Amino acid sequence: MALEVNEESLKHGVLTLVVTLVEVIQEALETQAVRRMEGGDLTEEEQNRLGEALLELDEAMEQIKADHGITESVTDLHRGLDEVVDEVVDKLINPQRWAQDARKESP
Amino acid sequence: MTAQTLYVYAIVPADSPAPTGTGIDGAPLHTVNSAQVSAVVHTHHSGPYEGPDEDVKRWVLEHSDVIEDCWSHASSVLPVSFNVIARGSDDAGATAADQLKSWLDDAGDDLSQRLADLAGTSELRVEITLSTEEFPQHDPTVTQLTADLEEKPPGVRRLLEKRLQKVQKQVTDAAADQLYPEYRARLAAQCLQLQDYASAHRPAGTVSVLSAACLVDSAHISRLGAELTSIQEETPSAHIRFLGPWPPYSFVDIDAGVTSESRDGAA
Repeated sequence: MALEVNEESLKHGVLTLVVTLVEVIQEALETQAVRRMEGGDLTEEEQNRLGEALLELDEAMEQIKADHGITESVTDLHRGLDEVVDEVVDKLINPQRWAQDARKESP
Repeated sequence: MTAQTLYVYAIVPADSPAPTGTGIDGAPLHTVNSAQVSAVVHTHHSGPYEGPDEDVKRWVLEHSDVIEDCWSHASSVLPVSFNVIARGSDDAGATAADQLKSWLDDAGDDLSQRLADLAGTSELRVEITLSTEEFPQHDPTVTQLTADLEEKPPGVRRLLEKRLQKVQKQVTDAAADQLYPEYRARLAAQCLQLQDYASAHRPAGTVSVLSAACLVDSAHISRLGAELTSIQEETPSAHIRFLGPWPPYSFVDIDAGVTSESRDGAA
């Protein structure tokens, strides 16, 4: 069976995925930057440079999302990923959930 | 497979009034009766309900309308999940009604016991959350960071804002952990049973303190409301959602001999 691909929807989907992943990486960078700032590893000038780079990235990302009409789909995918991560973390730090899940699955 | 099946909505005591409304897609309702309990059903001619989300949403609402209707007319109700269908057995030569009746007979003691336990009760849901922005606004670290923000250049401010959000979240998380046992105990004191559940939807910028399904005596719902009012007065930045009253969906909790295997076959 031939796979029918709608080019526009494929572009939309791939772009949504890429932009969402860039946002996730940006968050990881921010977390790292804040950690260094708290540890006193960064001078105020370095903090400002790093912060300005993040501001420029914010602007560029907003522009890309608006230009391609993917603001909403990125928000949805991002939320979906956050929920998956929350669930995994919740399971890892609350081992009693395993027992609950096992009970639910058994008849 | 026998063509005619029975779609089951709820179990009610045998002496309950006959169902008044209609079921999913306007299907006429009737009951299958045993000595102690009755099942509210409609005669069904196909398999489980499946389709686009919009349709499923409508079916689930129509299903729960039937349960609510039973709940308002009968002394007690055991809600049955969406898409539970009883079918006949060709091997045993039994119709769907025979199969369902025989299950009602077998499980009658357990079912009527649970119906008696749940008579005159309602389920309410309580969700208490704290806003990460509002709750910690008087915390010294948060106040200091907010003041620092004002005089910094934009780049530094960008990082400080991130740090502020992190601190706000940490302070609120710690407060939520501390408040949870106290709130839970206070609510439990006003309930017959209390069951925690994971909230399906938590708005961004909030931390959940407690999400609980509460089984209460229908005559004393206001006591739970009063406890929530005093929690709200003590912690004005807490957001409290108080939902219901509903039939006791979360407290049916009955096995009554239905394993996943026999559920496929009989009910």
